[in-house]
Order: sequence, then C-alpha cells, then structure tokens
Amino acid sequence: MAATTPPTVLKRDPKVVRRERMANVATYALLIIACTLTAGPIVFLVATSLKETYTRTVDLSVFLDPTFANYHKIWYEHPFQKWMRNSLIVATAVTFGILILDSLAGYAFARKRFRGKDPLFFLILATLMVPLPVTLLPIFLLANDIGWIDTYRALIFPALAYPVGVFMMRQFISTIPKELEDAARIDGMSDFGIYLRIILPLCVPGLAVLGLYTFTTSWGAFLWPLIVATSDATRTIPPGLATIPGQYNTDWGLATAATVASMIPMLFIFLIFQRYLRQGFAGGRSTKG
Amino acid sequence: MTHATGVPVGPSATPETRTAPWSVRLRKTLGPYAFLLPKLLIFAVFMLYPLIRAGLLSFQGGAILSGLRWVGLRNYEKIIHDELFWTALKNTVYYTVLVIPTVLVVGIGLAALLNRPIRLRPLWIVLLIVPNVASTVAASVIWSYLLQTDGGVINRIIGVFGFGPINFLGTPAYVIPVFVALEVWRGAGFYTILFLAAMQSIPKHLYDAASIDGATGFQAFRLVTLPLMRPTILFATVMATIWNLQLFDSPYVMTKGGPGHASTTMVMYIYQQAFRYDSMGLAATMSLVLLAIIMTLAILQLVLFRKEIQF
Repeated sequence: MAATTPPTVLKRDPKVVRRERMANVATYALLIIACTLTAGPIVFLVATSLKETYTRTVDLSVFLDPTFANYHKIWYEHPFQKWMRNSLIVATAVTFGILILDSLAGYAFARKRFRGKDPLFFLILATLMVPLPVTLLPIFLLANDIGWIDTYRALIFPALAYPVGVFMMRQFISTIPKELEDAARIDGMSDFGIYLRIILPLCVPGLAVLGLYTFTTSWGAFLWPLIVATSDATRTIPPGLATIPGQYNTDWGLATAATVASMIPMLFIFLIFQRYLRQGFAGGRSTKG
Repeated sequence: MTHATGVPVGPSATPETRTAPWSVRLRKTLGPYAFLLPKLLIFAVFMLYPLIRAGLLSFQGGAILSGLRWVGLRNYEKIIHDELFWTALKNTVYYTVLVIPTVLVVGIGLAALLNRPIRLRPLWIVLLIVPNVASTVAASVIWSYLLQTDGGVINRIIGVFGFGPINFLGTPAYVIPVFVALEVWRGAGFYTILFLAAMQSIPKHLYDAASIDGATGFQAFRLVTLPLMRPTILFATVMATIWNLQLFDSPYVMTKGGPGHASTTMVMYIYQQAFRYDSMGLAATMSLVLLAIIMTLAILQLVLFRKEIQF
C-alpha cells in the first residue's frame, strides 16, 4: 500500500523497482514457509485419521481413498459423543452467560457514575493476574461441600467470574457516541431499554469478539474439567481427549480422528464470527464512521 | 445536558435530582448497581471468596476427608525446602523466558509480512490461524503424534537429512523446547492478528511522511511501526506472561512432567499436590507463590512501560 502512493509521474529508479520485487519474492517465500509449518501438521493429522488402520507410513495418497472408519468408531463405540455434547452445552452456556453479565457490567462502567466505580473496576481488572489454581482449589472444596462435583453447574458458573469481558465491553461501549443515548432518553426510554435497544445492537462486533474468545477458552478448558468432571456424564472434550494417547500402543487412527472432530465445531465458530473480527479488534472505531 | 448550565452546584444538586421524587432518585442511585449486580455476585462467590479461602488454606494442613487443621507457617517452610518445587519453578520460568520473545518476534514478523501489499491476504491469514482451532490438549495430541520416536513425521523428515531418530519427549533437554514450539505453533496466528490490527490502525500519512524523508521500508518499520505498536506489544507481553507461567495442559498430556521431573511445571506440581497427594494447604501455598510471581512481573512490566498505558 505504502509502495503504491509515491507520485508515479517520475520515472521510477530501476534499482528501487528491483529491490521491491526482491522484497515481494521474500514476502511470499516466508509466508509459504510459515503456512506450511502451521497448516502442515493439520494435513498429516487429517490424513492419519482417514486411514483404516494406523501404519507407520502415512503418505498423503490417503486423501484419494479415505475411510471414515475411525470417525465411525469414536462416534458410536466410544464416549466421545457424550464429551462433545457436554462441551457444546458448557461452552454455549458460558458464552451466553459472559455476554450478558459482562455487557451489563461494561455498560455501567462505561456510562454510569456511581460510588466506588474506579476501585471496583480496578479490583475486577486486577484479578486477570490470578492464576487458575489459586481459585480452583477453594472452588473445588466449595463444590465438594455443596454437592456440585460432576455437574454442569460446576463447569459453568466459575467460568462466569472471569474478568476480561467487563474490560472489553467497557472499552467497546465507551466508543459508541453518547448522543444516541441522550436522544433515546429524551424520548423517555429507560436505562435498561437503552442498554437493550441501543447499546447491545451497536455492540455486535465487540460481543462477537468476546463471544469467540469465551467460546474458544471454554471449549479448550482443561484443568478445571479434569478436576471436577469426574465421569463421562459431564466430562468435556479436552479431559476426554487427554485419556486417548498413552505412552505405548496408542491407536493413532482413533486419537487423530477424535482430535479432528474436536476441532470441527471451533472451525465453524471461527467461520461464523470471522467477519466481525476485524471490526471488533479495531475497538468499535467503525461505529464512528 | 444538565451539567452545562454554568453554575457549579456539585453533582448531587443538579436541578433534575433536587426536584425529582425519591423513587426516581433512588433509581438513579441504585441503577448502576443493578447493571453490575449479576456479575458482582458471581465475581464475589467464584473469585473473591476463593482468593480469601486460598489465603486461609495456605495456613492449613491435612487432607480433605480427615479435615483441615491450622498449621501456621509450616506450608511456607515446607515449600522453601522442597527441591521439586524449585525444579518446577525453574522449568516454568525457563519455558516462559523462551516462549515470550519467540511468540512476539514471530507474531510481529508475520504481521509485517501480511501488512505488505500482498495477494490473497485472507487465505494467508486463515492458514496461519488454523492451529488456533485446536485446543491446547488437541495440539498436544497432534504433537505427540508428530514427535513419535519410531516413525513420527518429524523424525522421518529429519531422517531424510541423516539425523537419527530423536526421542523428543524422553530427552530432558528437549521437552521444554517442544512445549515452546507447540505454543508458538498454536498461538502465532493469534498474536499475528493482534499485531496486524495494530499495524493497520497506524495512519497512512505517517508512512508517506517517512517515505518523503527518504526512509526505506525497514527504517519506516523501525521508526514508525514499532514505536506506535508499543501499547499492543506491552498488552501482549503482559497477557502472555500471565498465561504462560500457568503452563499445564501440554506437559500433562504429553509427558506427565517427565522424563524424571524435566517438564514438571508449577501448575502441574500444584495439581499433583492437591489431587494426588491430597495436600490442599501445600498446593494453595504454592499457587499463592505463583500469584506473587505473576503480580510482580506484571506490575514490573506495567511500571517499565508506564507511559503506554491508556484506559
């Protein structure tokens, strides 16, 4: 982009042109190397999962004659289907919970004036630094006391305390022009009506980023489900997946199929949300036009 | 806009609130808290209470079933003399020190490439970010598979160049670098997108000015792009520090902390103390030490780059 802006009236120095061409070749070469490294392992993963029995030599010709036997096996002869259902339930509940709680709190922090606002915001933000085990050990004792072990509740509620969304929503809502709210208030709309009808619709890109982030985090959560989901009734995919590869005698066909299957919902979520990503990352600047 | 009326009468005495009936005034005072209440309730039960309880736990010993009892500072004394705790701390710090610069350099480098006038930008972005759809556990399974000593893809590739099969996960010197590689593989796309967004928000006219002053592309990158990205780099560094010091998933899945204790991390050791040896108090004490380390580093980074912070 910057390269196309200099005035083209002048004849361009052939040295500069050559240097630019070299830079372009280098750019594409580096990108090809980087993408081979990032996507290559996934290609091998998928290839292995499509082989009938795992043999030591996986060549890519398997794509010509794929078999879905491994997928059939994990879906019908394995608790994988239960883990998938649990993961979907928990991640969906956590995502919607976070979107509601954090957009409400973010609205209050962005727009309202109240006693203790700054210390409270700082306190919430500071808990970003708290490593998981600090709170998970006491929460485990609590869950043990109130009979929450091996329940969805235990997987969902602690995740709703995570602070980052409050911060994200506050930042995003601060960029929405205040005039819209003032106009609605003059028309007699209540605070909650303003939140629901004005703030939320304008927050969609921000909500999309927070939703994607929350879903990804919940989908990948490992330590807490490992501790609290003690049976296949609530076990999510990550702790389930972790039981498949042993040191020896791993059925890699099965392990790779389960891994690929665990990634498919994430892939869909990414594809659905990706058009909001750029807007959301830009911090709502686009709403200002 | 009641505040623009000129006479400074203080926030509580605006004409609107003075004349309004008490119910309206009450709603105005309590309104903000109504929006906050749901989050604050959850936050109090699942963040503040556990924090306090963790503090108390660090002065308690005994098992969950037999009941916890007060032991004073004994947990703190124990971990000071626990060699394995120091090994776990060393492994965790070693991993973090390797992973953060790598992920920053790779992320900024790839973002710089994508920020050039290139064709098919969305395709490159998708290919770079695709490992991100793998959870850390899924990524660990993938890399266990790739790194097998006997016939693993990576050993076959280095075999072509005449290097003997390497038992990556069974060699103490290699395990931590393997986790670094895994994290860079999985996380590079995320950091790239973050840095690319920061780069694209830099006003074009700054580059035009730099180019008129005769700056080469690389000089413009060093003198315009990097300085303006400092807040994003700071944010990424702080978050990466907090996140990576909690390494648990990949060692748990791939090595269970081995070989020996070469890949036992802080969180892994805490997990083992709490759930294998049933020493909640000791585990809570260690988790507080980890919290202290994270807070020290985060505050240090924030103070060092104080002028970049903008809320």
